[in-house]
Formats: sequence, C-alpha cells, structure tokens
Amino acid sequence: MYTMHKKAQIEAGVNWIFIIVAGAIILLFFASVAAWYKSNQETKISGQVVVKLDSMFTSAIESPRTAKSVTIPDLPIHFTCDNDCNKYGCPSYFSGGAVSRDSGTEVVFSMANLEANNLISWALNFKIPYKVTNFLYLTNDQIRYIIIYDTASEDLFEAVNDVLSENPHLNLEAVFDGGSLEFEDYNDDFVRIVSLTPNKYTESDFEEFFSDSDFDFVDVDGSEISGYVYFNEGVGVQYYGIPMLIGAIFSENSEFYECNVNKALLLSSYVSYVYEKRTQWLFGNLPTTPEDKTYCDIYYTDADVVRAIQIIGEMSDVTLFEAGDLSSAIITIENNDNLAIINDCPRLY
Amino acid sequence: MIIWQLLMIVQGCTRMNKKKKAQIKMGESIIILFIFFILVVFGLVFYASISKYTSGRDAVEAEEMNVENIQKELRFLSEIQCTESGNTRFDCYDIGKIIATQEAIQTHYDYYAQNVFLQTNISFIEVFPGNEEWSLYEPGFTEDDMLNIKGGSAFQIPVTLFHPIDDTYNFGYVSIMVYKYG
Repeated sequence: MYTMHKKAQIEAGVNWIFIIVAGAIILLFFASVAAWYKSNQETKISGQVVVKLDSMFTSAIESPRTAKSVTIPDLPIHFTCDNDCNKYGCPSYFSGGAVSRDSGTEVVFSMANLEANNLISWALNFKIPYKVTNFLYLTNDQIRYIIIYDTASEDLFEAVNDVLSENPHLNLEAVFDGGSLEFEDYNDDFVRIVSLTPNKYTESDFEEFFSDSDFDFVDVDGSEISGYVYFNEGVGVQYYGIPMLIGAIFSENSEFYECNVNKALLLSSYVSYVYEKRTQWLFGNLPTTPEDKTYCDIYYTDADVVRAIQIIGEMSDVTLFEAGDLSSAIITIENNDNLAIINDCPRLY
Repeated sequence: MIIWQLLMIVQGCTRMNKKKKAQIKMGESIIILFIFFILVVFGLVFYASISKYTSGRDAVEAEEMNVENIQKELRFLSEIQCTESGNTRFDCYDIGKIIATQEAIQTHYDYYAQNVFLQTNISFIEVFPGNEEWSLYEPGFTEDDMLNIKGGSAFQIPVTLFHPIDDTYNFGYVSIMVYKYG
C-alpha cells in the first residue's frame, strides 16, 4: 500500500516535470520565433525607410533651389561622414534605424542626428564656374539658425541671405550687430549661431541667452569667393563660394563639414579633368567648312584657360592648391566663356 | 486455495489495468505533442515558402531600384550634362563632354567603376540626323566575372545629344545594360 502510494507520488512528480519541460520548450520556441520575427520586421521597416529617404534625397538633389518640408515617421535619422577620404570619396552613411546606406560621393550638409517628424530638404548648385555637383542641405524646423552680421560684413551677409531666403521653411533669424546683442530663448532643440563678424564673439558670449537650449557657435572669416569657418573656436576649415559656406551653417561640426567639403573638392577634380579634355577637344575639332571657326581657337588654346581649369581641379590637393589663385581662375574661365559666346564660338562650360 | 489464486489474478489485473491506463495517458500526451509539433512544422514551412516568395520579389524590386539609381546617376552626372553657363539642361548630353569623359574614365577607371557605373554598359546612340555611337563605359570583366554573370537588364532612354561645335541638338538614345551576378 505504501509502495503504491509512493509510486503514484513519483508518477505525479514525473508528469509535472514533463509538463514543465515541454511547456518551457514550447514557450521558448514561440518566444524565439517572435523575437526573430520582430527583428526581421524591424530591419525590413528600417530598410524601407532608408530606401524612401534615399529616394527623397535624390529628388531633392535633382531639383536645386527648391526647398521642401515633408512629414516623416518620428524616427531618428543619423548621418556620418568620416574625414578619412581617398580618391574614391569619403566613408559616409545615413541610417534610419538599423539599416544604413552609403553616401560616399554625395555632399550632404546636416546635423548628425535629425529627430523630428519633419524634414526640410534643399539643394544648391556648386559651380566654380562650371557645375561640379549639387549640395544637399537637410534640417528640421526644431533647429534655429541665427546669423549675426555688422556693417563690415554686410556684403557677405546679403550674398548669404539672398540664397537662404529662398528657403521659406528655415527657422532663420538675421541679427544686425549694432553694439549690443539680445536674444530670446524659445527652448528650441538646437540653436546654431553663425557670426559673420570674425573674431568678435566666442561661444561663452551667448551662454546667458540660451540657458534652456542646446547651442553652438560658428565664426566665419572670409568673402563670397572663399574664406574660413571656425566651429566653436576650433581649427578653421576653408570654404569656396556661398553654397559651401551655407553648408557650414547646416553642418554638425568641423569634421563633418570638412569631410563634405573634401567630397566636393574631389568631385571638382574629376569634373575639371573632363572640362580640360573637352577644351582640348574643342580646339582640335573647330571646323573650316561650311563656316570657318578656327578663329575661335584662341578661347581654348589660351594657356591661362587650361591652367585655370587645372587650378580648380587641384583644389582637393592641398600641396598644389593656393586659395588666392581661385578667384582669378574663375574670372579667366568666365571671361573666355563670355567672349566665346559673343563671337559665336562653342561655350567653355 | 482456489479463492486465493483468483484474488491474486484480480489484483494482478487491477495493477496491469492501472499500468496500462498510465501508458495510454502517456501515449496520448506524446501523440498530442507530436501533432502539435507537426502543426508547428507545417506553419513554419508555410511561413518559409511565403518568405521565400517575398524575398524573391524584394530581390526583383532591389534590382529595379539598382537600375533606376544608375539611370538617375547618369541623368545627373555633371561630367556629361548639357550646360549653359553652368545651368543644366535636362535629358541632354554634350557630345564634347561624352568624348572627354571617355578619356577621363580611362585615366580614372577605378573611381568611375566603383562609384558611378558599377557593372553597367553605357552607350549613346545618335539616330537623327546622324547615326554615330559613343560607348561611354564598359565594365572590365575578368574571366571569373564572365562565368558568374546571370543575365542582365537592358534599357533605352530617348535623349537629346548636343553637338557643341555645330551648336546643334540631335535626337538619340542612351542604351544602358545592367549586368546581374548569380
């Protein structure tokens, strides 16, 4: 009797162990299937988001001077640009979750993280004087831009503001520095202060105004043609032309900006090589019949023109390039192109 | 004696019945688990076949997207676009620039192969008034690459071809062949 009772007890215990083990295996199985399915779907959704963003960026690049503000899913978009560039471009990616996409040769000026359900995209032509590429600028309405200028920098401000005012979606504020500055803190996600009055202010000068907002400071020292940009009193990064200077206003930091500038200069070296060869081709193929156009050869054989194109191509090579030569190179090419058009000769660019 | 023997038989049968019942119960449980796992396996096989179909469709979409990207890349390639003082004319390609780019591709082959054209064959064909053809880029396939090519997609897009010396705009098309690896 005692043995039978004990056996029943053991049997009941074994049954329970069996039920617990089998149940645990079944639960584990379903939990692992659910986890796998979840990660799979997340990757899939991230992939779809990145593809849509890429398509959005491409259409923005294709339509320069057309600013767009679009509503997007509330997920962080992350941008990276590593300044370790080579002849193929600079390692750079953007991601919208777990999936990232390569943007090695696309010049994209933006903050490293854009977190809002709205995205402002805008593109500008980078011409020196021929078209090299289109720059893409990305931001959102949670980022506030303040531009400070004074009488000495009024020309540069007007050139920058003329272009920036084409984008009505920007949270932009221009402040004339007449001696004392006053700012309101609107608790923005981020405030980027850009001073066109070189070496006059430092970041600490603005701390009292923006105690509730995250902010940083960019100092600009230069003209419409070229100059230097200093992020938070760091090392200066050179810019060429207004679209590149505007890139600094939208960029995360000095490294991010310099990386994109390097991409642009690399592209300019390849495009310049094409223009150099095209100019030589034009010279070698000017017709004598039905109309003798050999008189046009002066615009293509002129040693200054070919050298000017080469100078622009050398911008990416710091050992060869001298910034002072850039404006004269641009003027030489523009003048030759204008003269070619006036004299019914093929355009240079 | 007989009664004792009968009692023993009845007791034995009762024990055997209990044992048998337990065995039947265990068997039932195993059969239920077996059926359950068969259903799970059926479910997984069904899901896997659906996933396979979906991933196949995704692969086709990715391929189409790749072709579309190459088209866009070509359409906005500053090296060959027609420009007037730096301003772009869409769907127009400058023959002088195409010829210059052919030379640039020879000099900087790696850059154009890795960043721009990838595994794509691109030619510009004039159809009116002339009938000239300019091959812009041909991928440099190795013998191993040739063995791994599993077909490709060909596209022709009508474009305008600008002749800078004559200052004329001619009709033509760009032929794009995107190779697919197996």
